[in-house]
This record gives sequence, structure tokens and C-alpha cells, in this order.
Amino acid sequence: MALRAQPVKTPAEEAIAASFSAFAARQARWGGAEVAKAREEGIARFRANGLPNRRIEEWHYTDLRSMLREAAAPFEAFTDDLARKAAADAAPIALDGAAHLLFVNGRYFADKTTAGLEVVDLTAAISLPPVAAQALAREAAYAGNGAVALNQAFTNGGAMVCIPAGAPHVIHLDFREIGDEAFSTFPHVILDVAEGANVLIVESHRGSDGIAYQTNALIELKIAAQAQVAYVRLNEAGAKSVSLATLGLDIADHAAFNLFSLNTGAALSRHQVFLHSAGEQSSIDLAGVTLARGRQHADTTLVVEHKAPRCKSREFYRYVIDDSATGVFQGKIVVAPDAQKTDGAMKSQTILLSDEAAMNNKPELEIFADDVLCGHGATCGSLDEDQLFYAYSRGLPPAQAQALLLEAFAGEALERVADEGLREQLREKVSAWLAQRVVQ
Amino acid sequence: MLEIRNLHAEIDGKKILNGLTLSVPAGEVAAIMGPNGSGKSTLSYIIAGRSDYTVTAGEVFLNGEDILKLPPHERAARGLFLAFQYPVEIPGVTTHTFLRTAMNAQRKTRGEEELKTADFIKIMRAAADKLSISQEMLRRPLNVGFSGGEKKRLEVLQMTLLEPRFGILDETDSGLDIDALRVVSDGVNALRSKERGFLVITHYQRLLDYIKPDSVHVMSKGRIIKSGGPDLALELEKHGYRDIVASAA
Repeated sequence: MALRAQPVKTPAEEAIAASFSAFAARQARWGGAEVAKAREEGIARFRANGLPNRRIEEWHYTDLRSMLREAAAPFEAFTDDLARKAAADAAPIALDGAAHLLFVNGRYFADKTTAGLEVVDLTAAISLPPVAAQALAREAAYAGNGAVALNQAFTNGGAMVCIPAGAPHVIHLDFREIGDEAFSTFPHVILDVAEGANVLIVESHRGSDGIAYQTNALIELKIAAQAQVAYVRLNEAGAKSVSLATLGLDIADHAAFNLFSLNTGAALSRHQVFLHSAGEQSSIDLAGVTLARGRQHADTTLVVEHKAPRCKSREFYRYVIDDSATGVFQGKIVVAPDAQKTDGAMKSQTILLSDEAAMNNKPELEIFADDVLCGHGATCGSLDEDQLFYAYSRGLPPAQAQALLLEAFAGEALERVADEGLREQLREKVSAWLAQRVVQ
Repeated sequence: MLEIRNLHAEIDGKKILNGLTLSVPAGEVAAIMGPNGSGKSTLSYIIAGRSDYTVTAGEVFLNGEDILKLPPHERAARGLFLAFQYPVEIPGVTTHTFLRTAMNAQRKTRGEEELKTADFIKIMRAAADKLSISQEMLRRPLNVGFSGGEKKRLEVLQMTLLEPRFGILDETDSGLDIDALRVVSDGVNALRSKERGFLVITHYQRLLDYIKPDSVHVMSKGRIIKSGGPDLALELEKHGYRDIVASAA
């Protein structure tokens, strides 16, 4: 018999486990049997494994058990006033003609500007639409992921959005966290993109800097054949917050998915992307820029599984890490035996701006097909002295020279955002971050 | 204009300059020639302010001001320009953006107003045309994928736009064909004036056929071992450095 050490539960783990039954009972009025079942499965997995920790390989660099000292209670006190307050704050990004889906502290608040889209507030449904029910019943696809388990157990809001073909759509998933004391949120959003549809989705996260709130979002995106989806994610979560987020992807034949993610927020963040399935000749481009300073910890974890032949995937991530912040990039590409002619290339590049800054890179390739083109590369270094001196010698003061080079470094990843107006706004956010830097 | 007095410098404990003294008055072009490893490029880097070298003794005055205490960008703002032997590639920054940023940074350091975009474009286009630099090239990332000749022309374009009081050309002729050499030299000659000085570092006399120097100096082992008029360059071309270096030793 193998002996397994059962570590003592931390106070955060105790609190999470203890709060479940009462929370689930209070929330039982929505979602029906599927939601109840998903909650039970999620909490069972949590009880068995505890918070994700360094004993679990995929959480080695982001040990939630040691990093999460206290667990805040799931937010439940939703009022329309809360939504009004959140909506009164400045929009994180300007998007012309976008359908605006506002999520406050995890719950969807219906807005007038969703015309043309079918949006179902999951918390208003006595039983779930079939697509949403399917999404709930697929925890196996996340390989027992601890963050997903917690989202399932404590889902406190969510929506399902059906995106039809026809005219191009722009959708803003606007997540806001507001309040006076810490809380946790577990939204679950299901996006169903119809065959041949064309959509730009922007997911943004913003919240109060003053409170140590915790978010754990699960967004599942199902893309039908021939559809084109551009997806921009913006993490500007509050300075003390913990921001966990999972994006689950199913992409059908000949569909294209482009993700760009700009991470500047939260004390502790982890964005996990799981590509569960990619159809024949589909194309996937995942890219992002992470800017971290102070004591921030910013993790991007990708699991890209190729099961069908002739798929193309690109992963291109850039990190700028300052002060004593830590970056994590884990990218795993799995090519199944049938996924011949897969063309995959993964790259992660980091500039460390201080001696205390740290970067953990873990690229992994698991290839079981013999006719594939797959590669990965990771670099990590400081700003190039020759480039800096060249800029100084032309009259640029150190702060400006460094900002110019860093803007260029981030800019090469930003090039992947096709929408020009959006790209410029992201560029300005990068510049604003750099402008706050104190250069010695 | 540029006064170098008894300059000693080292890198990683290795002495590169050993009491170099040189004076270039305003309006003049001084050429420095010398064998490989004599410290010519190091001299240009030290004057421009590269931090990996340690100056152990001596002074460098630009217009009467000791510039060794100043950071490189302030030396630039006071009118010093170094045309690099190997111009550095900066991916992600268009040439156009870099030029405008540099011009405005210097203006800001000097307390002057920034250039209006329209004015900048007008000035840049006129200067680029004279150096056969296309608008397309200006939209590309700085020096990325440029040929040797394009890079050197771009150095001269930067010098033209920044209007320095003193220019150092570090082996600007290396990697140039005859046509490019002429374009680059014409660009430099157009900047010659009685207020402006130049230090031209080169291996070969050829460049000095195009940019006619007022004085020629031979450098060896971190010092100037012989100075003379333009004829000295011709003499070197004929006999090589060996005799001069040997007689100085």
C-alpha cells in the first residue's frame, strides 16, 4: 500500500470547505440538477486535493496553498445598485458598437446593449440550456484542474451567449469587482459561436485596488466550423487581488482563433488556457504581454492539444518583470497520433528589469505523431546594453531609452491584435505602465 | 572645440588608452588612423560615454566643458554625435519614430520646444532625399535588415537631423561600396562649417579622398604617435603603419 502524506489543511482550505454546504443551499434556486451536480463534483475534488500546490506539477510555480493565506467568502449580496455603481466607473476600453455584458462581482447584469445576441443569465434559469449543461458536465477535459474545480463548486454567476453568423459582432465581457471588504467571485461564461460567424470578444477585468478580493473565472468558448474569433483579454484587476481565470476552447474544422492577453493587474494572477480540441485545418494563435512589478506574481499556463490533422498553432508571449515580481510561462503542446501535419511553434521571451525579478519558463512538447513541425523557444535576459547605449548616444535619457525599448518589445506582440483601434488602446496601456516606472 | 588631454582608460583591467592627447579646433576635420587594436573605436566610445570603460586619468573638453562627468544623453544634447561603426538594430521601433524621439529628447534636455510633427516630417524628408533614403526605409524598424550601406547612410541622416557641434565618424567607410561612400561623404561634407568639428576614424586613406581632413593623426597602443597634414595619410597608405609604429616605440 502506498503511503500518501496528507498535509494538514491550511486555514484557507478549512474555510473554503466549511462554507460550501450553506453556500450551495442558498444558491440552489437556479441552474437545477446540473449545477447542483457540478458543485458536488467540484467540492469533492477540492476536498480530495486541497488548494493547488507545488506537489502538483502544473502548479509548481504558482503554489496557491502557500500564497492564498485567507479565503474570502463568495459574493452573494447582489443588488441593482451594485451594478449601477460599477457601471458608473470608467470603461476599461472603448469599443464602438459593442454588445456590453457587465459582470459585477461575478454575476451578469443584463444591459440594453446586447441587441442581436442571445444572452442567458444562468442565475435566472431554473434549468440550464443544453450547451451550458454540456459545459458543466465536462470537468474531465480540465484534467482535475484545481481552479476549475473551485469555480464549479462555487459558481456565483454567469451567462451563456450565442453568437450567430452574419454581420461581424463585437462583444465586451466587462468584469468589475467592487466592494469595501474582501470577497470571492466564481463566474462561468459560455460562449457559443455559430458556424461561419465572425466576432471580436474583449474580456476585461477591473476592480477596487483597496481590497484583497479573489476572482476565479471560467470562460468556455465553443467555436463552430469556419468561424473567425478574435479574443482580447485585459487583466487590470485590483492591486491586492487574486485573479484566477481559465479559458476552455473547442474549435471546429477550418475555424480560426486569435487570443491576445495583456496582463498588468492583480497581486497574484494565473490565466490558464486549455485547447481541448481543434478541428482539421483550424488555426490557433495565442499571444500576450505580461507587465509585472512590485511583488506581483503573473502566471500564464497553456495546454494545447492537437487531435486532428493539419492544424496550426502559434504561441507568442512576452514578459517584462520589474522589482521583485515573478513571471511564469508554462506552455504544453500535445500532438496526438492522428494529428499529422500539425504545425506548432511556441515562443516566450522575457526582459528582467531588476536583480530580484524572476521568470519561470516551462515549455513542454508531447508529440505522438511522426509528420509534424513543432518547436519552442524561451529567452530571458535584461535590456540590451548596445541598444541602450545607442539610444543614449542619440540623446535619449535612460528612462526614455528604456521605455522605448520596452514599448518596442511589447509592441512586437501587440502587432498580433488585428483591430487597429484596440491595438492602439492596448499600446497606450503599455506606455502608461512604463511611464510609472522609476528608473534608477 | 574638442580637447582630449592625457586620456587613460581601461576595460576589465586591460589598459586601452595610454595618455592620449588630441585637439580638434572648430571648423576642422581631424582624421585618426592606426592599425587594428590601437584603441580607435574605444576612443570614440569613451568620448560618447559608454559605461563599460573606466577612465583612469585625463580629461575630454567639448567647447570648454569637461564632458566625462556627463551621462551620454547629456553629451549628445550638448552637441556630440557618434556615427557608429556597427549601427545597432532596434526591432519594433520604426526609424521614423526613433529619429523624432531623438530630436525631441535633445531639444527637451536643452530646454527647447519639441518639434511639431508636420515640421519634423518636412525636415526629415528633405534630409533623407539627399542621402537617397526612401520613405519606405524610414517606416522600417531601425537598422533591422538594412544593408551595410543603408545603415551608414542612416547614421549620416541622424547626424544631419541632430545638427551636432562635433561629429565622430567611427569607420563610417567600412562596408561601403564606392557609390555609397560618395553619398555618405557628400552628406558629411554638407555639414562641414566653421562652427563644427569632426573626428574621422578610418583604416584607409580612401575615405579621406572624399572627406578631406585638416590634420591626420596616427594612433598606436592607445596614444597618438604622430600627427601631420593630409599628406601623412598618403604616406601611410604607401608605407603602412609598421615604420611609424616602430620608430615611436
